[in-house]
Amino acid sequence: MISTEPYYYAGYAVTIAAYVLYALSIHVRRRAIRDRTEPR
Amino acid sequence: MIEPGRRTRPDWIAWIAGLAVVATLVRAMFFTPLEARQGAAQKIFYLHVPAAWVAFMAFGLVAFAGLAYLWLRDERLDRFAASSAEVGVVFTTVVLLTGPIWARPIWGVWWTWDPRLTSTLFLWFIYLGYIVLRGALDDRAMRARYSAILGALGALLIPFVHLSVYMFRAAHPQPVVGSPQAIAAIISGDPARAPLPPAMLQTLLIALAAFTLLYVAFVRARYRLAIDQDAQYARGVAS
Repeated sequence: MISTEPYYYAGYAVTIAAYVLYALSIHVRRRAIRDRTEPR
Repeated sequence: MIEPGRRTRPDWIAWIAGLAVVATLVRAMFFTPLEARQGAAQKIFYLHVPAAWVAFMAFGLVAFAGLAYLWLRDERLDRFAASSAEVGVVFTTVVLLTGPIWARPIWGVWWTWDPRLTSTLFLWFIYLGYIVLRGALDDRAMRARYSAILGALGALLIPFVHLSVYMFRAAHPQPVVGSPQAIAAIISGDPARAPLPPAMLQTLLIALAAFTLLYVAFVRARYRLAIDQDAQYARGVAS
């Protein structure tokens, strides 16, 4: 049987990446609106 | 009340959800035994199954909020539906990424047109279409109405996705803890009837709770963004 460890690490890495990227996308979109509306 | 464009206080639910997810990952990786036949790849199960559960719940709530919007015409319901749909798409994306990563070493292929896999892909496309539809319509009332209908119709696929492993001869494993027999065995507390060894079952249940909390945190953050976007749109219309 082949080693399944690389797949295990890949599964965890893509999951963490997906959630972190989504959290960042919300932050960036809000920030863009805020930068346009708040006086500097 | 959250004012548009204002910096908000630290979101404790988001912090708690983040910590719960990290604790779940640590438990799954270092404190949960390896499954004898599948080895380390089986641990993907602790991410894949909770993501699927949260996605189903998210899309079910999109349908519920959409139907409630059609009745009450409350824009908060529309904002919630839009937020839940987007978060549901993220969780479904995780399901569709982790599934093939598990399937490659276990089945020998990344993807097969199995009814469960295919119907999950359809579900993902429907709610991706929901997001595209919302982006394409400028009129807020029309956007809310059309997306409520699409959101409610899309959720009709959820029972089919769940039952597809029973209805067809499928490659995808049947639910480990989602079947009536497994739920009865868990409630009975009889270790001989348990669908999973206790350590694995506990990790799965902890992961379900942690990812549900992450869903709540994401929807709250996305809802705040929707408020800001609506305020920006209102300013654009007024000027």
